[in-house]
Amino acid sequence: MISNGCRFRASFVYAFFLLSFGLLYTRLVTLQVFRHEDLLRRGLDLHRLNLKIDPRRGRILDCRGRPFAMSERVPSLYAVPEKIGDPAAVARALRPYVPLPDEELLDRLRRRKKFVWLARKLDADAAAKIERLGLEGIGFREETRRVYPQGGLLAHVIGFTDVDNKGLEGIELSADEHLRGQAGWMASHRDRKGREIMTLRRQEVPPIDGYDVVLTVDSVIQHIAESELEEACARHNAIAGCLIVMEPGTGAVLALANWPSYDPNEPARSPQDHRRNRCVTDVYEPGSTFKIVTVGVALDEGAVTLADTVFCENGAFRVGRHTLHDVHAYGTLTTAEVVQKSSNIGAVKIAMKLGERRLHGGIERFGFGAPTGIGLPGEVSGMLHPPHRWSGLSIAAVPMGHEVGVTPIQMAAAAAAIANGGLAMRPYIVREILDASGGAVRTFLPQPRGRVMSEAAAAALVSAMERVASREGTAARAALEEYTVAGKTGTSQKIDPGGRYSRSRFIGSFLGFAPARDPSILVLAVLDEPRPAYYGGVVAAPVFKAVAARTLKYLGVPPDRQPADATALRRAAASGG
Amino acid sequence: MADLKTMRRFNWGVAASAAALILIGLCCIYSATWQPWGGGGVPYVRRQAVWAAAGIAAAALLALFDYRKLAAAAPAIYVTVLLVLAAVLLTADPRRGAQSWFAIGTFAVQPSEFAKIAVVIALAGYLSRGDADRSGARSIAGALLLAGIPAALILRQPDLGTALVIVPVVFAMLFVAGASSLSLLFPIAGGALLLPAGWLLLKPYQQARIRVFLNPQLDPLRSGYNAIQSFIAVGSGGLWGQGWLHGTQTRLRFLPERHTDFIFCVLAEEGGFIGCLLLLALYGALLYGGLRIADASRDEFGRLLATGITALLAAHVVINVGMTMGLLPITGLPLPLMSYGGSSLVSTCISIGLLQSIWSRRYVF
Repeated sequence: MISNGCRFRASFVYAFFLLSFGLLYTRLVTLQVFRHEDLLRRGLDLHRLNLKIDPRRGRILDCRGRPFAMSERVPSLYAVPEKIGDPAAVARALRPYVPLPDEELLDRLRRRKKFVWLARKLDADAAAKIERLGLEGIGFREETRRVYPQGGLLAHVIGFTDVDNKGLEGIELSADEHLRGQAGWMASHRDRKGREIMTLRRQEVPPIDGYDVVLTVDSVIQHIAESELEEACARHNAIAGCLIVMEPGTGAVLALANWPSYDPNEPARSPQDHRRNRCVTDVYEPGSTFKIVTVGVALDEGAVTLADTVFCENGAFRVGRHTLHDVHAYGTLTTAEVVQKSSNIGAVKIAMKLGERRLHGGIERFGFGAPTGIGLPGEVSGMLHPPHRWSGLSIAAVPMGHEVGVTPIQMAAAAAAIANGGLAMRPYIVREILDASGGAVRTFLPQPRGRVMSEAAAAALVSAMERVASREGTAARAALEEYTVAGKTGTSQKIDPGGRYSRSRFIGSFLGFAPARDPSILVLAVLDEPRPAYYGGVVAAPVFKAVAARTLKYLGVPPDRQPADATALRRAAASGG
Repeated sequence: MADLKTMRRFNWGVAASAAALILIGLCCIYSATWQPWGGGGVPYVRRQAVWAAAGIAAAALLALFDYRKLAAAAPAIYVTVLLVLAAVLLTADPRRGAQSWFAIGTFAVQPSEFAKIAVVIALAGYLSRGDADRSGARSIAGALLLAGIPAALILRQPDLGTALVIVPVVFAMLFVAGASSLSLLFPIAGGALLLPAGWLLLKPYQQARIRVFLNPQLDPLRSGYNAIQSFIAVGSGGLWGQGWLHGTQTRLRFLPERHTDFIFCVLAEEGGFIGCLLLLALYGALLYGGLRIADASRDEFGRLLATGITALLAAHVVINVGMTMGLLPITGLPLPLMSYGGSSLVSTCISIGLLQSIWSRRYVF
């Protein structure tokens, strides 16, 4: 029989069970009622996954829709280090595909993190090979990679992006807000291994793709410009060169070339020096090309007419303690001849008639001393001292393009104003912003900046400039067979580190437009330190000729002049008949 | 052997709560293994259902069987189990780091699950033996030795949870057998004194589990992971739960061993506090039934056997649910009748069959 003691003991065991269950219930209430919110949130934090969806970065297109820059989807390799059992073995397997030093790769695989990048933006076949290795703890994420299908073409204008597709240089930087688009978000869940559960994916905010940026540049003309510039730099041993092709009537830039160049697909492979857009960032003394500004201001102000004569002192003119020289000794020259023969003394004497204040004001009106506002990063103002800082010698220096610093784009824009009948257009290079469907978000129209001279004065100056590209001018080599050309040469000495004009380092330049009276294009060519030949008429004028001839033909501009030999042939044919 | 009279004396309360627990278990196993993108689910439930059928059949046979014949067979059962446990250690290939499995055909059998019942039978036989001094010091020492040898073999596998679950069972049986409270304090004190030595005997991962139990944030991604995840799963359930098949911790596989040792988490997350309340009530009913059967038993062997079986079930429930909620360190113990796994389910059914056998013979002298 069961004793009472035993019954007591059994109920004691029973009580012990009750106590244990009571503890469990207490705990249940604590966790499920009082700490429910907190624990629920902690759980959500663990598996809720917010995925950023990269937008497609917009393209950069030329004026005919040919892409300079575009984005493609590529895989990027990452690792989840805590899922990797043997980092050394994984590192060995990945070594051929990951462009990291061995220690760095191993170090990343050993980091106590949930996510590390191993290689951003891999080639598709490398990714496929890695996938076939079947390694645990590594994976791919799709990213967009910026590619520049035309390689180095227009590289200085286009610029490039960083690995996160943020614009660093050029249009990529200046138009970044249009190009980059807006990231979208996706809410999803991940499992314990960090893998996304696709069925639970919900798109919350769709990404907005970036806009396309359409440039005024034509890649065919750009190609002409770059190849001719490179050839000229090589032939004349220049250390650098700039070439701008512009539409004088609108200010649209058709080509903008710099040499040396680089490949924006791999910007890090080139020295920074090669990546500079010298056309807007570099300042040089324009030398004689600047005389068109001097003469232009004088004509506009009525200080001289084209037929007025000036005595050129037979090649030597004393101003203060300084003696001014011409390359050739001239006696009396008309204003037109001063331009044609590029007489320093003539230009200075014309400027003296004008006076410092009016000269300075005119130069400023032409746009010097201020950025053109073309919208490219790094554009500088150049250097133009106000009259109260001019020395007594300045009036003998500025008219011939000394003591002033200009950028090639300023020089081109100023000359374009002359070509355009005295009306300055703001140079521009971005024509349109297009959305993903090709509709225009913004259109940039030609923008007049202001009149720099009267139409009559401009026409007079153009007729003088037409004589430059003649047998008697300084740039016979710039003459085109089928088009009239107006232009101006420039040769300037660079300044040595000591502050004196160098006797061995020069800048040779030429600017010209054609057809002269109704110009379709304006070309400025600047060669930095060509040697041994350095005269603008010798080194730069042929670049103008080649670029202008090919560009006008490409644009289908009707010739305004009979080719000399063609005329001769016709005459011969006529006499023969 | 059996007659209609004993059949009518079936303990419906115990049988019904056990059946309900098996059914809830099947639902939870389905939820724990089901994958929204296909796979899982049904195959697990089908296998568990087959085992449940086998378990119920075994229980029915044992209910008809006269448990008193076990008292005589106890030494033989005990020795057989020791041999099997030794054989497991010698032959089984390591799975999940523990040598606790024994392959029979395509089935993997866990002998330690059955060894627990064998120990209870052996202890019941030993403590109800004919000679005097069933509750003296010698008896206590004998019982401890009897339980200690298989426990040590199980500990070698290593399976700390199963080895430890025997301890409260031994004390409950000794206590009910009439051992004085004072004399029971000696082994408890001795055990407490031996704790530091025991710590040194633990495997590094077992030490880590205990350290992590004291502070789960110590290593939240490795040894503390299970504790934190199960904790979060239980808390996420709230009052009403997230609904069947809607528990995110379960669904997204953040919970390790969610269909076996951590099956309670699935119920807690999807069934909430109300579900847990019902589940624990069912276990309470089962255990209450067990103790009533012990109380009703007319012989010492049956009383001790029923007490041991009930204590074994209770220890499993309390330790498993306790570890799930962070009240106890994590040891690999199944939740009886709920966890996926044939050995545990069949052995639990066998023990319930034994309870029925005792209950149906309560008037038999």
